[in-house]
Amino acid sequence: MRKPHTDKSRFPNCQMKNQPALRHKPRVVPILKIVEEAPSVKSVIFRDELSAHAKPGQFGMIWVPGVDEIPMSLLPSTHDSTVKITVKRRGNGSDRLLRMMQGDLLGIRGPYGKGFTYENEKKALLIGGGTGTVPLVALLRNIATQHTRCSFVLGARTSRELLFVDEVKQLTVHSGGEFSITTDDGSRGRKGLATDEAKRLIQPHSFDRIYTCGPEPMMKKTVDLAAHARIPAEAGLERMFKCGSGICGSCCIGPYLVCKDGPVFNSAVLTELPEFGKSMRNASGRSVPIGMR
Amino acid sequence: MRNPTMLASGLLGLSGKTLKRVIEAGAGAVVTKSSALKPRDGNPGPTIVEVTAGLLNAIGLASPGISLMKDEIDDVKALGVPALVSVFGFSVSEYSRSARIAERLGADAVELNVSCPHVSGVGEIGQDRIAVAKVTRSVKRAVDIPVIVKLSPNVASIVDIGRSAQNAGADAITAINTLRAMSIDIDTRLPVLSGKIGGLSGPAIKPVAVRCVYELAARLKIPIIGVGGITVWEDVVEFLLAGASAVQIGTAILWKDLSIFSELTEGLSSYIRQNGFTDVSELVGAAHA
Repeated sequence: MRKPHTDKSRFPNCQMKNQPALRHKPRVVPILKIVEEAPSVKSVIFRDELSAHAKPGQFGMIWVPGVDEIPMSLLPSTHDSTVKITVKRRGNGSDRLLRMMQGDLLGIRGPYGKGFTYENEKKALLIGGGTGTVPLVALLRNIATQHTRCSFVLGARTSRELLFVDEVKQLTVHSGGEFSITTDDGSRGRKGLATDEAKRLIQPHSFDRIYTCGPEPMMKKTVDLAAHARIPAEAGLERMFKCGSGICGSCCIGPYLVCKDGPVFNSAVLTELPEFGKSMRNASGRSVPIGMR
Repeated sequence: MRNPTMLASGLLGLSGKTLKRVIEAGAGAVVTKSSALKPRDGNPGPTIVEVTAGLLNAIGLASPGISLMKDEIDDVKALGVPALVSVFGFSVSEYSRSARIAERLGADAVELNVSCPHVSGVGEIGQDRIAVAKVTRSVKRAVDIPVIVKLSPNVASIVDIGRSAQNAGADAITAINTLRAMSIDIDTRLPVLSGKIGGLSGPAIKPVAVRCVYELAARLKIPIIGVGGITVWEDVVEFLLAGASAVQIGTAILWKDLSIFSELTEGLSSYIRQNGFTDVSELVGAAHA
């Protein structure tokens, strides 16, 4: 049970505003801690009451002052009102965020979006690639402790890019599930893709639900495997976000908005979307193949 | 139009499939995202920030370019609903070229965005009655479909600009675009929007919008489409009484979902019945003496 933290902030204005809280205005907070997770991947930790209650799969819009505002999966602490975001270099905003230090200010609004579904499944399989692992860790923390047997396939291009290995291993094994690592280059675990491992594990009746997050081609393959085995699945998508709050339409996939109807979508919806795994809108709104910006 | 509500330009108007949802939710027409000849990435974030009773945006007129809007226009028209295409440009000829392309792609009307307050080169047109007249006249010569001019409230006399557009041949006016505005965060001590200055929309501007529609309706002969802060059906009635023949909904979608369209039309119908009217048109301009 998370306890609200009440220590004095260096920035009392954050708590003393006497107008009602505006949901879509960034709350400005200092960076409390920075953790190096992997070469060019860092986690940034800050305190924010609202995002500390984010459901697994939800995201926040992070204001990197003077530079950009970028969407990040939220990983709430299990015991206080701090939140972790895990950043890898992708553009100006993440680049600046990677160079920020403890005490620097960032803005957070959210949590936004629909998170993963959990209905006391007995056996769950989580398949994470790269930084897609982050929302799955949030999910795992919740469900592995609720008597659900969780198996986890943790994939990355190379051993140094694997994230949260120890925690994921501990939670999955403790829940009675299977933990496996895949690396494209074979530097750790099985050589190959996370979906190769998924192919081996996903058989009819093997799981009650499958959750996946990571590069979209990986998620598409996983959703297809799950559909073939008739197991419900959910995937955490990413798209170009501008408003993050459901009005500009930049993040659309088919008729849906990833920021509001997602980012988590279930297989029934995804298998009807030709864009899934194939195309997205870029900054100008033009449709481009996935992987191109 | 099956009812007097429309989706305003700038929301959900990038993809035919999201526009389809808006239409299925009950909008009587939709206006697409403002497009010009060339694609624009728009501004980095933050592109929006909520303020008390409103929203600031400086999206920066991001759009894929008018030539790529074909699917969107087709999807809207397939549902039997008017597709109004919003165009902008940085020169008179860009407006008329974009409008011509929009017409060729099947637009039922073009709405000229001469009033976006946070992209320099565009908003200034709407502040200059001669520039507005030039753009309007040029587009009227280029297309046969109706030409609607969307006015800026960031002017001393919106009636002057409106009359200029009317005299240049505008078929209708949309009033109003957003108010030039900003929000400064006191902890970072920076403007929140990356574009610094943005456009204010939402309930905060409704009294300004109603006043603009009222003043325009008193002096112009062409129809007015009212927009600015509508969130409930009573607001729709207010705009109609001020002189609007139709209204647009935008920012309200941030707080309510798409069911707002049917809420508005049901409320409007009830008001009409309960007050002894038989048709929406009887309300238009009824607040004038």
